[in-house]
Amino acid sequence: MKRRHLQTYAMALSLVAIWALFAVVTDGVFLSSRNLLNLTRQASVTAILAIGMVVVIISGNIDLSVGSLAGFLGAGLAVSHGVFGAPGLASAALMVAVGAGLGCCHGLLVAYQRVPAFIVTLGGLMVYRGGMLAITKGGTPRLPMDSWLKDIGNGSLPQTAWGIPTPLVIVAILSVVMWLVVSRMRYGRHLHAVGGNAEAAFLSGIDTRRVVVMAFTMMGALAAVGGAVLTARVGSASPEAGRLLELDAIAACVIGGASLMGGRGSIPGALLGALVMGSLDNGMSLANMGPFWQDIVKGSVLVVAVWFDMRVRAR
Amino acid sequence: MDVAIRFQSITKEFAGIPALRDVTFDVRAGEVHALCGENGAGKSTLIRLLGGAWPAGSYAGDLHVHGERAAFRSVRDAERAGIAVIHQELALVPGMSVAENLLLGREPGRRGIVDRRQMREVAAAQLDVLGGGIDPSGDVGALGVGRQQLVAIAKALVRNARILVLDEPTSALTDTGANALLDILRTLRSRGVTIIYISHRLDEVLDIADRVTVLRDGERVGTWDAEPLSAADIVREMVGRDVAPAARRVVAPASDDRPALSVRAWSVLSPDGAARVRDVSFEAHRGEVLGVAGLMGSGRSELLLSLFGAWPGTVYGDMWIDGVPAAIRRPVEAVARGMALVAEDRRRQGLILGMSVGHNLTLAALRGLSRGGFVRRGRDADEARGLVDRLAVRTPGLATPVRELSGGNQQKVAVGKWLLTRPSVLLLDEPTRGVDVGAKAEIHDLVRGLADEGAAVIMVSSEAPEIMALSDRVLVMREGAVSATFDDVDGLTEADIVAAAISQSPTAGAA
Repeated sequence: MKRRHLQTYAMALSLVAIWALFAVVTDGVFLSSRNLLNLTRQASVTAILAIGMVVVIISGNIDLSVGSLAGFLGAGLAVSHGVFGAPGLASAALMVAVGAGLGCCHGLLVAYQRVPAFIVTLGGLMVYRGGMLAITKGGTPRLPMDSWLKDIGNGSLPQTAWGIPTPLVIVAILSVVMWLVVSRMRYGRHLHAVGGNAEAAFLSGIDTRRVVVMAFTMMGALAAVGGAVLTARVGSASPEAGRLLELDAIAACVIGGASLMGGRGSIPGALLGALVMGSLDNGMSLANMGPFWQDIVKGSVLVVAVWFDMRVRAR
Repeated sequence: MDVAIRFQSITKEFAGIPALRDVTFDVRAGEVHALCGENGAGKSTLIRLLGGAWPAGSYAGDLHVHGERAAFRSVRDAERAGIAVIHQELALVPGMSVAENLLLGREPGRRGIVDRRQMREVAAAQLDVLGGGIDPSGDVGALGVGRQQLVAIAKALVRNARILVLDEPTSALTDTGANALLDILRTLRSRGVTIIYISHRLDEVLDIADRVTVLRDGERVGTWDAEPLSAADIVREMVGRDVAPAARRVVAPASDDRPALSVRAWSVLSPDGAARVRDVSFEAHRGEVLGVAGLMGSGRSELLLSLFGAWPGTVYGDMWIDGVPAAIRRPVEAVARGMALVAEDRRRQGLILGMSVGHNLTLAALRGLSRGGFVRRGRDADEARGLVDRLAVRTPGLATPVRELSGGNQQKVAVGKWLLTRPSVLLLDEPTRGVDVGAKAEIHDLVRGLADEGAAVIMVSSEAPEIMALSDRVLVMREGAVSATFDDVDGLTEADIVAAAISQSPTAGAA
């Protein structure tokens, strides 16, 4: 109980510290409502991937492929909708189905064929990166100029004072749904049990393999949504889209209190973690720090977050 | 007589709750000093502290080893001072050989190249002292718990420990194994090794110990010479009241014609093809406890796991539940058919240690506690609370991680989580291993209660008294096969069971 509180405080404190730092460095621009809305828009893709990643992490696994998968499916959306002219809704639904299917394949390989998740998804990372180049033929397929799908990345809720960004709404809806799954449904209990002690869960009559397959399947579907938002924001798919997003998502989960050993993690934590990662991105761009700094800082943050987690738990 | 260890006003708190309060006593050099107390009395905390697992500064008071004030910062420090602690959870590396485990960190050889032959020889020599016929080049993970225990003890001996702390060393051993171990301890004592001995088997304590210290609720009750003490004296000091010995079951079970579980020609092969269970047939009726006795490695655990669909190797044979043929391939199916298994190792196989007490208790029965996939949290909490009360689980609350409970209370949770599923066939593998007297009696009552409510209970135990106290019928296994069946437990003696477990002729091993 106490440890959990300590970690929550640490997370909230570090978020405040990061915001305060950037507020000073950018002369307050960072904290302007315009920038904060922009920040949530930027952090939304990481957030969508993180709420899927946290499910996989609670199950005791990892998914390194999500950045590539999101990029691949985002490109697929642009090709299907923009190049072939298929209806937007059908294209989006197709991508979610493909994402879920590929995620399901990851899960089957991990749970039934006993290939470590690290390897399955590391392979997936390369496969989808290649697949993306194949379907875009190295170009940047665009969504149709007038497509409503662009709004899921760029739009705002009409008739609201601040113009709440559409991606934020998507994140909110997905978060509530996934929070129900993880914290209120029987599946969520089973998920924690499998991640906490797979053998004991198995001997308790839990279908542990199915639990793992479902975790990866949800992750795949969420990667499709993340990819759609990614493509919609730019209006086109770029070959670099989604690169290293898996690390942002994993870092977000760990910052949010998830344990890479499995059995522990939460959706609200993952969201806060995504906000931390998004703030770092946004703040460092505003402060005109070179892009290389962003990689260095974010990579270090990931390691520090895990180190802190280990220290807190070792007590 | 020299003092090997002096505990001076030791106080240790966890989150403000004292686990040890002002504990002061001496352990003399070269004696076997038994530490007794119920689970949660503070024994484990005290020896963790002695073993360096709780670093100096995390507790109040002083620790003196051979007259010098000791401030261990780590387990390594304690080891360097000649203290070896053998915990209930053995510090062995599965996947490495017995010899590699024994000499872990002190492999013989030159310039970083391990002399494997010398290693095997050193290990073999040490294992010979202990007996048990353990192959030094075999995988530690493939050994049963009992033999792993022997390896852990050998590992400490290799390290020339001058102070040996044994936490429940015999809980996983058969009586023969335990006696062999006690002999080894006597030898070590004669060589001047100081031994702190923790066991719930009080007959052993009285057999081996020179002096006995009893802890209760974190405080030292007293230290006595073992000589005039009786088991009843110790129990009285441990619990602070008199405890009647577990009463023998008198009510005959209502046996109905169709057995709850019927097994024919059951054989089990390990994944590498070795026969673990050979052609076993038996029936278990509702309302009875079928005791399964036998040595470690006699195939008892494999039998239970395979019946439950949890065995990774090949299984042959037929099985009927309530007269209906059953082909169970996975525990999911076993649970759906009304079976339950409390496996041997509660921490590894029974509990989700990081999960709360409440969630562990309802884990196996969650389907009945949910609607439309959603857990009905009110009912879930009510049922969990009901179980905590019924089982008298000592826990600060439902939300407490099960890891923080004492061993006996953890075991109550491991058994209790099956109560809500109302099993018709309950498989128990060493249900009271490493559990204190009080919790043991409570678990016995529970098992008997479940049988009286109409479950067929199949209970594996290494403790003959436990088998005799609870069973209506007894089945003894030896080398994977049933070596004896006792349909009438009246007049059955411990010697009968031991004899059947060791050899076919009842006279041969009765001693």
